[in-house]
Amino acid sequence: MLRYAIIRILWLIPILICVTFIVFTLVDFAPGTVVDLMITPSMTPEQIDELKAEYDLDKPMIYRYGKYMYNLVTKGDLGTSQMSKEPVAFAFFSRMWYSVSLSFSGLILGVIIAIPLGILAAKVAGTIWDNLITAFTLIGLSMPGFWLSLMLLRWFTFKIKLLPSGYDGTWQCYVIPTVAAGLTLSSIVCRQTRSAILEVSKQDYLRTARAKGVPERQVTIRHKLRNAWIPIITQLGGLVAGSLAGNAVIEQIFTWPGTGRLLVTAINQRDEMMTCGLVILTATMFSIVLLIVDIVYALVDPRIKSAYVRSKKRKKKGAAAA
Amino acid sequence: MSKKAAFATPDGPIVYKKRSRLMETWNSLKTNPGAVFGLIVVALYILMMLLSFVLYTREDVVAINGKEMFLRPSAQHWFGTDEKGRDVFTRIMYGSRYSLAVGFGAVGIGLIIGVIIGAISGYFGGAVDILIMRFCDVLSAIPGTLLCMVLVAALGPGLINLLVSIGVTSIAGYIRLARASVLATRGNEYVEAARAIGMSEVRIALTQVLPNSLSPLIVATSGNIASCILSAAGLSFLGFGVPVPLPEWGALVSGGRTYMLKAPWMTTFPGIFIMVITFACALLGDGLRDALDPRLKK
Repeated sequence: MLRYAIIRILWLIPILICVTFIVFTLVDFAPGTVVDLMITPSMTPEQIDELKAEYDLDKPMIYRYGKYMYNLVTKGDLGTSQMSKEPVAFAFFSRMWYSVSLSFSGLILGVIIAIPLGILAAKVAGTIWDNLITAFTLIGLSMPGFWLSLMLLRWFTFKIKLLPSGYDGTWQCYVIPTVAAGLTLSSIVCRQTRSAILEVSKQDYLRTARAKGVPERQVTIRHKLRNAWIPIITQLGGLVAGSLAGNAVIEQIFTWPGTGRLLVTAINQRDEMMTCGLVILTATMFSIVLLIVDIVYALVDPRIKSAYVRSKKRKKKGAAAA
Repeated sequence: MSKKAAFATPDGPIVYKKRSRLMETWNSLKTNPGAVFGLIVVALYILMMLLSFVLYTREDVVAINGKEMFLRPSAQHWFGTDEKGRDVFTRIMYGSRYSLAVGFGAVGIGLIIGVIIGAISGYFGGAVDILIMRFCDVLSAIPGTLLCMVLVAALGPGLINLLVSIGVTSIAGYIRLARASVLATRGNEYVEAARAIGMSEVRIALTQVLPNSLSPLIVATSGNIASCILSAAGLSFLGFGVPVPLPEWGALVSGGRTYMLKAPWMTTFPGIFIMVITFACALLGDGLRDALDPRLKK
């Protein structure tokens, strides 16, 4: 088990190095440079060249990548923003909390709605209620988050002036973005919950449990839910990781001081260092969260654990026989 | 394979007509009211797109009309007019081409490239397989939304670039799916039989393995069209999509944002159009899944 975890963790290093290369190449390839926005009509061509040289724009891309990686590996330095002169890592970590808190409030709301609703849908599968819940989740899936945000803003902020229109540090400002982020999420989780429970319901061990006289309540809690949990948790892990980056649109609408909005601004300003650093840091966080989910998954699921142990024993036996 | 199978019995041969896969799927889809509804809506949207090609020119949706700014929805302007006096209904109709193009085009790119690479990976295995899977790991280490944004930034704005970016982002998923499906199909006896009668490897891959491993891909595709339309709208909303005067639906919602109090119809209607097409695609995807997934067959 430990070996599995260590191999997975070590694998992350080459993958993330490839990620830095891809992201750096893409950002570098983008039309326009940060210098374009600084050039004023009064500048002489020499001054422009000087400005370009300051950002190494007169050298090949691979030189800039090498320099970037050298700084990253030796000093842990992701460079500074070419616009605001703020260190990229500082900018990311100082704003990360806002994005994470928005993601988590959306997630909590989503789970609170989704899991009971999914269980209910599985229980009444095939009836009109099941169809209604399915329709509701499909609407949640197809509603663009930005549009829902704007509609909620229109009613709850402009019409009845109940909630603030952007980030102001109070709990009220979390309400609309949380609903907008949580609704899509709850739809996905609800569908997953329903199908996971329906899948588990077909298993023979439920019949065995009933046959030996386990009360129905116990069957649901101990046998059904326990087994259905596993795919749900896996998906939740993916959603948490994804929502760390995925709320850029909602952050933009509510002028949320998070990393998503920072990235949109950086791309619009052609702030290459900032764009590159933000994507790399987010991808790193994303991969780490997914890795943790995978390891926890292997720990929790007795089937995976036993499969792993058995294959190891088999290998040992094979080695002994040889 | 022949379409008919004959069995000799004392009363003469009984001929079973083999129902084709397509007909079977269609019959199953027909009985699913949600899928039928989804299909009708998608057909209506396609009709709307075709009509917009006939009815409107680029000038109609871009031209500024200073006399008719912010008109409420009425018999003349069904969905009202915007800040430059342009008819919102006309713009939405014209914009249907962008959403549909991105929805189908991006999925097409992802599917074609993904299936080819994934099939190679699953069918041949070995070093190629390892290399391709590691490439997938790298691609999926970057969150989809971010990869899309960076790709659009790298390629520059425009419909084709938006389409390519969203397509490329979904490739890793398709590769994995196609690989898994090919791996599962490759072990079947009919593949071995084909090899025994001396079929070439390429021919086996194309005529035996690929057609039989398509079901999970079709299911994933129909669901993905919806999410591609949504991410295109989201990117356009952020200003990374189709350039501004052109009425992509996400950009329409974004453009109406400033005038939300004065002219709420500018944001409401394009959003409803995005929602309905996504809803229809999702319903259709669910229907296809029910029709094609062997585990769900009764």
